[in-house]
Amino acid sequence: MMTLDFDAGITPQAAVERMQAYDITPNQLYPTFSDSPDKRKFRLTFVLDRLIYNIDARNYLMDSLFAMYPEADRACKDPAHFFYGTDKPVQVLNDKALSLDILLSVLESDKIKNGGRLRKIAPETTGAAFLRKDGFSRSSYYNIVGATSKARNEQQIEYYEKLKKNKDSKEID
Amino acid sequence: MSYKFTANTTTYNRKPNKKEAAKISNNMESVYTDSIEDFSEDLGKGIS
Repeated sequence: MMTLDFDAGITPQAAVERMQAYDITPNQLYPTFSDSPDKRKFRLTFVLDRLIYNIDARNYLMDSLFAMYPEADRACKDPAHFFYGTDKPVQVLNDKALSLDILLSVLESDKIKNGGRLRKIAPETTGAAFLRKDGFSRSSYYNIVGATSKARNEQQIEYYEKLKKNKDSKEID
Repeated sequence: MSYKFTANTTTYNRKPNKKEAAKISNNMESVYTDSIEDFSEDLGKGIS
């Protein structure tokens, strides 16, 4: 599970829509104890479909999320960080765990959508190498398309085709 | 699908103060939930 903490710079709706532009809906959105209408403070949770035991891989994924969300509070990236709950309603946006393969492929993509920014990530870091070695990810679009035998269902295959189409397109949508 | 995470199961209806935060961080345990909805309910009770 990965959680991002936002204190300023982005609204909850914009944060969700940024990832939804890639057909991924974060699992939870919840206001923090300190949230107010004037100053929105909230957290976005990504529940992954498998546990990550490798610390480098975990850090690589977290860094990639921060690249996608530069507005998130970087003080909360430590793996030992614990987050408070809330006294406000928690929104379940997606009740299914996210595919780590797909999430990582999006985070490593070079397509900028919906307010996302250029991502200065280093795909050859130890963490990224571990994820690929372990079969977690085929990072490039072409590799993903070529690895459809790993797809778990038709929806995933459809998603891969969409990624390839985006890759071939010069447009940034 | 079962979800495993680490939590303190004390509930709060306000932001914990420093003393409470220290108590929370010293009393974390492995817990499981069967669904993301169940996990969300726990968060809504102020569980850390």
